[in-house]
Amino acid sequence: MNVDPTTGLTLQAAPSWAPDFLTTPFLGGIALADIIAIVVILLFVLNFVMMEIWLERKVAGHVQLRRGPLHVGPHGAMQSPADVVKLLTKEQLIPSAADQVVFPIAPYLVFIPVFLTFLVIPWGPLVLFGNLVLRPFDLGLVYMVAIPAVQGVGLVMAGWSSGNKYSLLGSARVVAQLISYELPIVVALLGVAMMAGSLSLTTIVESQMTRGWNVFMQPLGFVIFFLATMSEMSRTPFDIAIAESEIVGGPFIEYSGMRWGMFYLAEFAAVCLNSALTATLYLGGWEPFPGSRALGLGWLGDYFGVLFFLGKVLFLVVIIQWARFLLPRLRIDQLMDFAWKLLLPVGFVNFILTAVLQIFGFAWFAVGLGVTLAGLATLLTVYRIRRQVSAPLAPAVA
Amino acid sequence: MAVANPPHDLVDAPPGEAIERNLETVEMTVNMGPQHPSTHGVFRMVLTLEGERVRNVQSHIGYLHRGAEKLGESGDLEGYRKAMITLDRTDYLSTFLNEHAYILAVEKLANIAVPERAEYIRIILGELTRISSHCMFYGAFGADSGATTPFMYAFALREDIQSLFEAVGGARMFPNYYRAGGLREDVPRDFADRVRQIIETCKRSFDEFDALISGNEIFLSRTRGLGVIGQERAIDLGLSGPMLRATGLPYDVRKMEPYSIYDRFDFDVPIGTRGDCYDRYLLRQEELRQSLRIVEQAVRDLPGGPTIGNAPKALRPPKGEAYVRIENARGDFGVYLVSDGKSSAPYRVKYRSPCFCNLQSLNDMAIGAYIADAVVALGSVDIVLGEVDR
Repeated sequence: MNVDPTTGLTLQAAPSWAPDFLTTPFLGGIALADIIAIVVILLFVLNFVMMEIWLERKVAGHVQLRRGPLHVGPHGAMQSPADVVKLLTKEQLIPSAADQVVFPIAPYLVFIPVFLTFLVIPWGPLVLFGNLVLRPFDLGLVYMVAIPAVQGVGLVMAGWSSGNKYSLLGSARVVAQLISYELPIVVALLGVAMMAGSLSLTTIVESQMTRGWNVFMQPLGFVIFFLATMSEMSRTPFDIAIAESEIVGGPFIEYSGMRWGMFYLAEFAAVCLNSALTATLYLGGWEPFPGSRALGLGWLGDYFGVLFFLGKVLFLVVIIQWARFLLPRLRIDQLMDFAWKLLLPVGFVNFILTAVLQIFGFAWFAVGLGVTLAGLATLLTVYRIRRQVSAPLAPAVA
Repeated sequence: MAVANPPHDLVDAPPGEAIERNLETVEMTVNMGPQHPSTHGVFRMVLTLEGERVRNVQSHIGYLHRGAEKLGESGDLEGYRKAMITLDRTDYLSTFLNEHAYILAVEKLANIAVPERAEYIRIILGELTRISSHCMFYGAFGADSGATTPFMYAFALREDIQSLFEAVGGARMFPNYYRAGGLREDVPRDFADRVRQIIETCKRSFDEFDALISGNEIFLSRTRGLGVIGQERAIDLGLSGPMLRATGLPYDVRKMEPYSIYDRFDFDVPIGTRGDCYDRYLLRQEELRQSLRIVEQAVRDLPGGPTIGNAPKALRPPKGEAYVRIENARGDFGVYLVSDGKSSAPYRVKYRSPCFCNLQSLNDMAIGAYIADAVVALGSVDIVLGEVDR
């Protein structure tokens, strides 16, 4: 890897077989290979998101005694492209009560940050394609927290500019939700950063290969991160911002056509993004299974790492979708309580435990064990307290 | 005090105070319905909100008013059957149950006897209607609290029951099947077998219903302790059905004043302990099972024989009045009929509908709660707007 002398950031490590004209930086450090990679990854992400929308409808169908899309393409696989074409041809209405400038640009502010964040994800190992990440710069962890937060601005703009009371309520909920759930995410990530000793996503993956996956070393952090990102994406059971049975879609209520489609593309892209981040930070990135190198199977990850990574992403995506179709929605005060009274304190417990165990120099195994036990104990206690509060479930019979 | 000259006022005010004065929270009025997805049809409530809190609820009903009672009085050709046609379209989820009430009133007015077989079939169809209606509640209540899947499970079971209704009465929603002195025609030959099949399906489905959301932590936290109505208050408001029984009062017309042949069946009346939304939900879950018990017994004892007595097609009951009440899926449903002794149509038709009374508890439940709670509380009433507006 070569380092930029002025910024001190690591630049992309190009594969050895790449010709020079591809890797020579010409525009503020950007090489032709970078541009190609950006285009390829964005196209890939867009297609992945389309596939994910189809998958969600299939999962929904099978959970709900239905079949989901069936008729466009084999098993309805072309349903998402068909929907996009339909949305593109639809009229885009701007209500007369809406702000004529802010209303049309809000969807882009929701859509773009999600796609920008994909740029730091390490998709695969160094061996074949160089580091399959566009900018493996050392602040990847900070970047991935900071950029998606811009989404909130877009949603507030959408909700406020619509000139509709329901969408205003929705955007008020978005603000409250985003601010509350940024904190547990950051606190959970502190543990990850401490374990790896780095803020670079590539280094975090590499360190998990030698030491064991973070999901075992940081189980509490994993749960907090997973739940908090689900809330950030406004997915069920945290979907109070769009809550169809209460505020009828919240900020999206006045949108139509592709502008409306942008919000949904952004939502599904966020699901994909956060699954990718969870896989990177906690599930060992592109490593096929824990300890593959120790077993002499490191080549599996080295050559087919991208596939394993996508497999993990898909697994997490299905879990998020599954939750959507099984759970009711939390109320706004319960949502806030969950973030401030449960996730954040538990996150600090996780943070302090990780720090203490690391300073006192236990073996890595002990770190994992201690954090795991503490996590289980905390969760069990919370669960039992909540159960005790609930009374028996059967009705009396007169 | 009104700010006469805002800039000057701001300059004069001590630091901090000026900002506070401008940061007053303002109440917002939101119109929910009649096109809102969770107002169960065309109910409209105007919510006064302070942030997320509901400070006042103003209900508006009548969007579906069709004059069902008045129309029922004008049946010159159809006679006493016409009111039943419009009655079906009021509470479109309790059709067989309400037809039962109406036909009992007609039979009481004209003093007509009913064959055994017709009585049993009426019980079976009525209790299946209750199951079908409670399925609808289950699905809609799940959707109100944010879970989309219960709706699909509830409708899968409802589909079986509606198909049976179609086979029996020729229509899925509005059967118009009961006649004074019995039934319009006998049930299909495979009726008993199909009912037994449905009983098996129901048993499986009810367990699935429970597994889906009954013990769900989020569902519990959303519904428990919400919309509590005390027993006294419930009686004052005139609540009935699950809304009343959830407060702990075992009041069920089927037990209190057994009509038809309900005294022959063995079933329990579930009651709640806290009177909150969760109790109402749980109670209806238990009622599903109790209704099934009645259906099981009725189909076991189903006798043969005629399904209609020898009542005249065109009724001309003697001068008088009759009031009959039954327990329908939503509560105490009453039918009041007056005959003038001359015409072949009722002189006066009046329904005592449970939803209309139950809906009055909305303000008690929603004021002071969150918007999301108001939606769930409204869902727990299990209203059918056709019946509220009539």
